[in-house]
Amino acid sequence: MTLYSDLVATLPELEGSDAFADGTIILQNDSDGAGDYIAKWDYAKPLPKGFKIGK
Amino acid sequence: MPTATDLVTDLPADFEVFGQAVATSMADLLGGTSGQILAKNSNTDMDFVWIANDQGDITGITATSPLTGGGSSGAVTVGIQDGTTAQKGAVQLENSTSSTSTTTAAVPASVKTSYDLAAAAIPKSTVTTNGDIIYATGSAAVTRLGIGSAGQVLTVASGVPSWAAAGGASGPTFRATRITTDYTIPSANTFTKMPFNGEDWDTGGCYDSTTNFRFTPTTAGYYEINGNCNLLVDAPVGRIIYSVYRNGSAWARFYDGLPPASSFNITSSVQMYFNGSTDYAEMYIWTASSTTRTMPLTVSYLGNTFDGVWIRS
Repeated sequence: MTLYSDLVATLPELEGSDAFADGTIILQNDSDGAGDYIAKWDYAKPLPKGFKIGK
Repeated sequence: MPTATDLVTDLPADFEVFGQAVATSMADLLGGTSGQILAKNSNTDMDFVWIANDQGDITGITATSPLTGGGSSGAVTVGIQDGTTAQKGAVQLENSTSSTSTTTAAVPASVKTSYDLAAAAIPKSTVTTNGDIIYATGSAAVTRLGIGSAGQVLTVASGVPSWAAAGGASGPTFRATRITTDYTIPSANTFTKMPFNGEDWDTGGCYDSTTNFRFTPTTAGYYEINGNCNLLVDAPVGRIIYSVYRNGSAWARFYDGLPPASSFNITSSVQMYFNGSTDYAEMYIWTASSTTRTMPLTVSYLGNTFDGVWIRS
């Protein structure tokens, strides 16, 4: 499971959405061992429970 | 001389004696010339002297430059000639700091105005040597900068002007690579920092190849940032975005599209300004496909390099 798949599982409409490429939602991995994290969330819906912004 | 009781007198003789005595006593009244007056010669009785009749009066004026006129008889007039640069005389005062007259004189007010201007001026003694220039060190404060050497150019260092070798100003350059192991991009739909963990060079020690994989130049200025991305993809499907980040945010996309082949290189560059202290640049890759995307070693496909060079301040 990845952060992306977790989000899509929660918000299925995000599957294949450009939101992850156009900067609406930015999932980021700084190759520092901390893994993926949400760097930006400008999606029309609020951040689902269980997720957070930042590492 | 006979007395009142004398019975016999010799009057003629007596009068002669009397007359001589009077003449002797009045001798000072004799003499003198026309216009002279009689004055006491001492405190002794009948001691007089004839003197000129000019005591206490102005009897004549002798005028010398700058006075004119004068005389010793009749109506005497006295004037004063105008002063010029060739002769002394009377001078008109003038309160002006712009007059070019050569016949008037400045009053203290105009002298003070001129003095104040002079006091506020940059002293000529500030410069001492041929080629010196003057620059401000603050409000109403200046100093000299000696002439530079042939070929040098004027620049700014530590906030003040200084001479430097032409083209001598420089900044760091680096070239980061991927070494040791291939890097598999962990997640799709995620901007992943490309971990360039090797260095071909890093003149300023500004590239972090161990922790943050970022270029943080210590010289402010404009840089050219180049990125060469080489990816191995299982299948040439799924959108790929290759971006340069500045200070943690996307700055420019070098590539945004489908992978052209299972192995491909993308090379692009951009100019970027760095403040020389906190600004930094990184490279990120994003893929839409969850199939395996690998960032191979630089030596494998002569790709995956991240480099930059200072261009100008």
